Amino acid sequence: MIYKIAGIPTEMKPLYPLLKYRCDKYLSDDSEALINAVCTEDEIASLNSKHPEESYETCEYTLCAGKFYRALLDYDGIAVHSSAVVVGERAYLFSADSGVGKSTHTSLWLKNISGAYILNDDRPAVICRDGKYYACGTPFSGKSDLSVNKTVLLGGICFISRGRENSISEAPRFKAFPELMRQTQRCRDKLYTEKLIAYADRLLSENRIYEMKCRADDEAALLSYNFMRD
Amino acid sequence: MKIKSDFILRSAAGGFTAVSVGGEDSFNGVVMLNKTGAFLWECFQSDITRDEAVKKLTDKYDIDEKTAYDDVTKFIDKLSAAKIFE
Repeated sequence: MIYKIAGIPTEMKPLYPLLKYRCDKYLSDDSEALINAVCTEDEIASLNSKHPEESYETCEYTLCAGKFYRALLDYDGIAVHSSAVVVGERAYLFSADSGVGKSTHTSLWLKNISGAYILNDDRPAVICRDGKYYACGTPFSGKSDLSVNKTVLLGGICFISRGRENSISEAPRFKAFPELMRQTQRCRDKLYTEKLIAYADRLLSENRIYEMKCRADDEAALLSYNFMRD
Repeated sequence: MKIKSDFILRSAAGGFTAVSVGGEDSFNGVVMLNKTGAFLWECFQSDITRDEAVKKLTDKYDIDEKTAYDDVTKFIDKLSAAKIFE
């Protein structure tokens, strides 16, 4: 089966329902794929033997996401572990380790800002096309199935942590760089890593990058929205 | 002391970054360094002592031994915490 993800024809052969259903809205009539994200039963069984607590379908989903995002770097894109919310044709990404409250923060945008919707709740793709950066919905949206098959101009990336007070500022590149490296797809390959470093550096220089301390309240959402929007 | 071989050092974000390309695929193993840090990183590609690194630093830059010693110590502490030495 060929899907179009982040605008790139991608081959996958879902064996289990989770991947199949998540991918349905990305089905494409392209006849040739550029990215091969097919994973085999052997690969699924091998991952499951390392992580027996994860089901086969979760293993398949994880493996295909990894293959897709690894290949995406060759097409000028990366994964950013974040919840991506769209308002007025701009996507705003809130990134942090799991459990910090990315989805909580973007759900507060949905509650407080009319017209806001979630593009991807866990791992949107960020791509560069003709010098402009875009966030894309992908089937790889974590626990929830909050993903929309759209490509939206990137409004900014905000690294969040919990705080007693809400505060936001522009993030210095030197500080944001390790954060971004922590929240994207890494791998052991040296050439891949060199390319990733260059990509991350460029992404941070050419986009608006923020850091925020926040509580899980309406004020936090309104603060980040007002600070990050044009 | 010697830095593990599975890191690469590149310029990034107005400074330098050392990134792990070994071990398990992970989100960890990224260290940011300034110019002095990048120089010391190259020094510790060979198995050298703290005092040898201090000597290399005072030879390279116009700084006193005390400042060099503090810089090397900070560097070693930072890298030790990140388990970057062999």
